[in-house]
Amino acid sequence: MPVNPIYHHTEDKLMQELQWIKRAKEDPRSFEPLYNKYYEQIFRYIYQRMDDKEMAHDITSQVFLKALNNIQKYEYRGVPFASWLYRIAKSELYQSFRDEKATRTVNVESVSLHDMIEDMEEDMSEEKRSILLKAIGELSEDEVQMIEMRFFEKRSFKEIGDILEITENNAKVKAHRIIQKMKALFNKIGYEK
Amino acid sequence: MKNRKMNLDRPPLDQKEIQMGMNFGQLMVSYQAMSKPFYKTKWFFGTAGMASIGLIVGGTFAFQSSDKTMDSQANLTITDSPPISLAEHSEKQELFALNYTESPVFEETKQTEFTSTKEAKHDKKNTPLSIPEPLLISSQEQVNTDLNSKDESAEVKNTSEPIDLTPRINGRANGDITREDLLDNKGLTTNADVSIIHFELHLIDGLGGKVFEEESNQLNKEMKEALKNVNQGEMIYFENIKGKTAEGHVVRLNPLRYVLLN
Repeated sequence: MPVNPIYHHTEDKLMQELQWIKRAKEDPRSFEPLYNKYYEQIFRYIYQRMDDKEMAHDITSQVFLKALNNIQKYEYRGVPFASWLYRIAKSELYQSFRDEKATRTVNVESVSLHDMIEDMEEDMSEEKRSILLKAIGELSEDEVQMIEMRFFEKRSFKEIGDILEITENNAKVKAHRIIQKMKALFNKIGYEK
Repeated sequence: MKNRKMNLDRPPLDQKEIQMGMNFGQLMVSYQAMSKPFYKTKWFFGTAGMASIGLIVGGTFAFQSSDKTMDSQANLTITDSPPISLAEHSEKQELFALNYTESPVFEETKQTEFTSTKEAKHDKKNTPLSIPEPLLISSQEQVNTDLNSKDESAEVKNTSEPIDLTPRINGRANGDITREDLLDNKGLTTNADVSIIHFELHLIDGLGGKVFEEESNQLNKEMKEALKNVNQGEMIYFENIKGKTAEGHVVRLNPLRYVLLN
């Protein structure tokens, strides 16, 4: 599975990013390189979970505004600045759902479903695809988040772990359990049909 | 959160479309609007705190130094005051001592006199300062009175008046005198309770001076005989007059000088 190239930095890029952060702490106008670098990533993350483009832009702006306001609190922990932005984005996103400003949407691509069915060791068919969509609808929010990040956004377990504030292994275990659960659901829905 | 919408194969977003939503300038405007007011920032609290501490410490030092300055100014005021005001000051102090005879006041009065005298010497260069002598004497007399009897405070004013110790002959102290008055039987007397116990009569003739001594207040025979030879308008001197007070103290009295009228 391909990984997010922007997230997985080399050491040099991490250090450069750290310099930007230090400058942004001294002068907020120096936040611009970070904004330019991560705006698209964060927007895509948000828009992936909702259906309103304008609202996604608004929430993305809110995320960066919050990040800029709290840049003094940021502590470098050897991971890209993006993981901090993702956590803010997740918080803002779910706040908008609670405020009913936006509707939670799961955007699925056929290609991604194909990968999932392969992981579940099932054969791909139109019927199985609809069963799979129903199975996703039965998952809890945390489980859906894991499926989204792992199969739809093609994130590595390390990146998932950084965003969800869990270890890479924990992310792997959780992903595996969710696949097993989906398999059970898949069989259950298929049997009912 | 099961109330979610499922989208299958939603059209992907163009990168340009995403970048259209980017506006760092707007973000900065929002940041400026949302940024904490200066009085809520850490640096303000730090600066304000340090300034407050500085003010408190500075104020404390300023008060202490101002007290010292006031003290020194007070000293300077006393030292550099014009002599007149100093004299008034000491006079007031002495009058105060005359009216109140309690011992602490007495000590204060003594101290004041010392300071005034000292300052008078100190100020001689600039302006000569003279403290009225009778006043000082009367004050000292009062001091003596206080030492002898502390309960006589009510009579202080009366006793503080100078006692007239001038000797007289037939009520006359110096000046013109007739031969009859001179030979008065009462002899030399004083208005005070002092009796004359010794005097000398000095007469000046063509050969020089003659001195007659007497251990009473009466003119003796020799003196009366010598006075017969004194002509009108001549000077008669009574010197070295000594008196004895009721307490038995011997005091030296002022000399007398008469001009014989007849």
